[in-house]
Amino acid sequence: MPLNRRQFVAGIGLASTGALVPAAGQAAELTLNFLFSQPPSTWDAVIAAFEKANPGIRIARQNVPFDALNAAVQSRIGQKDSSIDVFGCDEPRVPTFSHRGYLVDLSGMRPAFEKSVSSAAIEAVSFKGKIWSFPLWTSTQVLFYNKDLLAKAGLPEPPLDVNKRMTWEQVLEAGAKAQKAGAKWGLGFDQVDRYYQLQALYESRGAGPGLTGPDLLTPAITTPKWIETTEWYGRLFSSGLAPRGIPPEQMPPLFAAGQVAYFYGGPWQMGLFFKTAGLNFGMAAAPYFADGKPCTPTDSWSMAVNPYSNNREAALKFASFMTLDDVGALASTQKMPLPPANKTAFVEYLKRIEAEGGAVTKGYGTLVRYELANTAVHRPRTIGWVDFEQIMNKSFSDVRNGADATNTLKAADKQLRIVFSRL
Amino acid sequence: MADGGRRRPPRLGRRQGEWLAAAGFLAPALLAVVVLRLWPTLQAALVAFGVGLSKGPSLANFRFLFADPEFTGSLLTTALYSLLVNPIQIALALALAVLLNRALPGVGLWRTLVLLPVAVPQVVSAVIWGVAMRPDGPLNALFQACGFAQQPFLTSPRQALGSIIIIVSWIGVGYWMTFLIAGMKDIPTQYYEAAAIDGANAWQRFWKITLPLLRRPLTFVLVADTVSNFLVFAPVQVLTKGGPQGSTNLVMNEIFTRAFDQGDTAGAAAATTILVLVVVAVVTIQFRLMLRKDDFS
Repeated sequence: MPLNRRQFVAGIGLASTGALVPAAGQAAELTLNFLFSQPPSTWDAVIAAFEKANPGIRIARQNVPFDALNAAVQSRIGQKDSSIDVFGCDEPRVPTFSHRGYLVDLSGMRPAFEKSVSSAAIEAVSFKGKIWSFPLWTSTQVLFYNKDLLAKAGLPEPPLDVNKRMTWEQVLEAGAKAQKAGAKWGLGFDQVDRYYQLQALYESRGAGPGLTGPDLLTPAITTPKWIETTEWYGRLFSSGLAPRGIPPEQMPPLFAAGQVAYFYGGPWQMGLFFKTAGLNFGMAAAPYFADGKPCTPTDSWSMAVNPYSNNREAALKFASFMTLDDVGALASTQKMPLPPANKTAFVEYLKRIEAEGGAVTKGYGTLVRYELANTAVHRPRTIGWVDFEQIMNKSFSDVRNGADATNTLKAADKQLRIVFSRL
Repeated sequence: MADGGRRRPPRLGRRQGEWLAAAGFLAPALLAVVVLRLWPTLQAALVAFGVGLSKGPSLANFRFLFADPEFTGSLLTTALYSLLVNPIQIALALALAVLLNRALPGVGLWRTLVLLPVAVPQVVSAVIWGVAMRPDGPLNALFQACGFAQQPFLTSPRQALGSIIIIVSWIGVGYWMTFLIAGMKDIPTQYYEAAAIDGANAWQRFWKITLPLLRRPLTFVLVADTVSNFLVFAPVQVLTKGGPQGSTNLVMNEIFTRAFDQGDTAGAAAATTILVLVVVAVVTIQFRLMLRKDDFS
């Protein structure tokens, strides 16, 4: 039966009232939109714990790939979109994002931060003396190895001991031997072509992070040490020791499939490796150059609150629960074995990993503590970081594919100067 | 008069009604064009020229872009790509249309198979092709099995653009073929019968009948294909991000990088304005070359 105009208007009115006023006895529910780049199940435990503790708040997950997160933040928060409340922010992006106005000043919560997380973790989310996001995890790198492939080549298993770490020279020699004995690849990089993992190579040789000047906005990537290290990186692939043409997200499955002898990667890949039936692997401390010093990548994800969110208070509550709250922080590592930034959860996390990993993770706690305290190198904290990361990652990719190191670095240097001139 | 002397409504009134009805039906589409296309384009142009800034309007963003080798490089790459991809796709679409317009056994199935890649999201196609083209991927395994040398595909600056052309053509050719088959169905069969009586061979029938009478659908395909190829983005973003060494940095990828990685909205707006001007110029030339005056009567 067709409605007449009066019935239609009355219907609309009734429907909208129904939408606004909850049924008697039902608490008004607030939905927070949470944008991130990890697998959605990463957050199962922490979201369940948060929703249980805060019955009126529901968390809706929005997942994008790692490479798309930057663009999603830029396009949505850059356009003052209020439909995201909390988002994952890679810690080195804090200076750029705070400069662009995408983050909320959290300096008023400093005492709560100091109580729960280390000063290094606070430093990782600060810029120009202010705190801008909640530190969630921290990170380091280890050298995974395939025990079966090493045994086939008669190679010794490197110990999980920072005092007995291999040099890169030894890894390359052993990787080539393993390849001769049947391994498809001698060496693999987890985050291949990404500055996050490669910075430690340059720092180990004393080449510096590639940026200088008071605001770290002057490129310094054409120095002899930078060129030499980039050439070394290119040779890993031109020699056939490591594979070309495989994107970072397809690298861990390659090691899991038993094709790689040595795999320089994040300890969070343990989750995948333990789950893979038939993979017999071990862990050792990250290598370093014989003529340099041990250096390891560090920092990780933080949780940021959208300044344009209409639910700022609830968003702060959720971000704070995931990071500063001991229970929430530990729950945040349940499916992503990265060390939490939260001090109490960190201790519990190490105990859990050592207990769960058996012989493979024996000594992991000592290693993580040592690396974070002694060898960790932070990425340059500058408003030019996002541009720098993008241009450097492209350059590393070009070198992996066979481009000349000197010319690539010179072109990147020029491009960086042009892009920085627009900041 | 049969209606008992009642006058018919004047003819002009009916026409007015038709006009109103037409306007009513067209309004949503026109509104969408204005809100989703023209308004953002105008906004981009205003940002590009710096309208509303304290410094006043200027060409500064355009001067900056043309001094940036990354941007000029992307224009050249796009030009090379367009010169290659459009003729290849249209020739393939036309060849497939001619082939699948015949009474072949299972022709419906063949047409569906050729059209199928359009139904797959571009990102999914790109990921699948990316894996297939890996140096250790199935394509190279096939090459090796057949005794050919392995190819670097997307990892080589010499082959990456060609690989992208293969991928977008695999996606698009079936789609454009469909329009051409529809156009061929409209060609009256008596022309072919007359030509056959006159002794014309297959090539002559194609050249003298099919091609001239396919001019209008072919114009549409040429223009629409050219525009869509100027706007290719997903395969580049997923597979190469413009590399290796900028060899696949098509202008859409360049605009995306500028806007969403570098946060340079004004530079991206200026690049968008340049792209729109180039596309309009190319399409205008294509229309001029392909259409005759009587096409508009």
